[in-house]
Amino acid sequence: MRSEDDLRAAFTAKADDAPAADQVLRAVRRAASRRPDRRRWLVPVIGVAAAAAVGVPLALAVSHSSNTSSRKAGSGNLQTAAGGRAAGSANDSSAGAAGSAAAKPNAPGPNPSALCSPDDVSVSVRREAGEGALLVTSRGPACRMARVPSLSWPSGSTTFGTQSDDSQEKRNPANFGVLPVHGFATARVRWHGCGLPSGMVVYVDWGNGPVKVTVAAAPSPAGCATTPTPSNQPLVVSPLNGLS
Amino acid sequence: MTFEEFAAAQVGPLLGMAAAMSGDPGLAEDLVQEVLLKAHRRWRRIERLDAPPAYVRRMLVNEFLSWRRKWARYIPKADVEPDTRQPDHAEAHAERSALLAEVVKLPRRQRAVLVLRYYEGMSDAQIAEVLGCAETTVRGYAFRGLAALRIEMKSAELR
Repeated sequence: MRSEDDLRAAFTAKADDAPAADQVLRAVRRAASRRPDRRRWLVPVIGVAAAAAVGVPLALAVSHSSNTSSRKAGSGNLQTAAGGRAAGSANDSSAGAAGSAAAKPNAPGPNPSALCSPDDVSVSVRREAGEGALLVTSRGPACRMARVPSLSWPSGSTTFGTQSDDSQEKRNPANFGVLPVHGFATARVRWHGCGLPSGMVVYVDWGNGPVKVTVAAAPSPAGCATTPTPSNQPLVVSPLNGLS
Repeated sequence: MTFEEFAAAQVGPLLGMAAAMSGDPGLAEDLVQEVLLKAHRRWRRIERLDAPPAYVRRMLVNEFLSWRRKWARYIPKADVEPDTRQPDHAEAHAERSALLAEVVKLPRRQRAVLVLRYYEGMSDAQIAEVLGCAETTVRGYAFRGLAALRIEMKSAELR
């Protein structure tokens, strides 16, 4: 009959046959260091998936939100414009000529600034050799004016040449620009022959009614008479350069 | 304590216990390696326990008990062959080898109970906790195992 001590001794002897601990530790270290390798590509993948799961709905929500707000803002503008039109038509029906004045392109536009009044700017027209120069200088606040002003050339009671006076074009906000604070804008005016000598006047209209301007002239080109030579050719004005 | 420190301190005792249970040094190595890898994966949780070595011993026993189920299909023989090396001429060594050869033929739960009781020196209550069974069950396993090995139980009543 065996004893329990025999069993203890047998187990101890067997345990002594166990492999070297270093060998097992090395194997464990090797396997343990391999396991993170497997996760090394898994972590970025999970990270990207999580970012997409959070970011895409967020981006969609933000995009939807901004679209909604811009749509609301747009509809607000439309309502304002509609209100303005309604007011304008009310003026038309009740005040006649006053209503027409209210329909001038001074409310809607790319900039909230008002149309330039004659007090807001100083205007000069100068004849140079074969051409003229229109100079509009701001005296203070920024204001709006037609990009292509109309020029009228009177001779006595007759206007010989004008720029386009189409009222529809005058109302189009796209045809208006902003004269910056203390800025200036220039346009070229094409003369015909020796017309418009010094001392004559032209009427410049940038959308707020004609403004009388005396022409300052450089010495007349050779061959031109000193007396006015009316011409029935329309003046041609380039767009004002310097408006934003 | 880092896992490295823990593994370095515990790998020897774990290997001894695994060798006593399995009866084969190669299988003991596989068992301990597998258990330490599992412990490495869960080390943050294990290191917070009151007795990480006891927990890892429990992992080793469970691995041993499930190991045969897991690896039986890959191993042609379910039972590990006893150590066939020539023993010393000393009678004691011969008797020890014969005893170990009989131990590896015992059912694995009986073997685990005997190793925990006679190699690890655990009480029946501790063994019951490790195996997740009642103390009476542990005593039953021990009784049957010792009977099969024709071992006289002197201290069984004291435990």
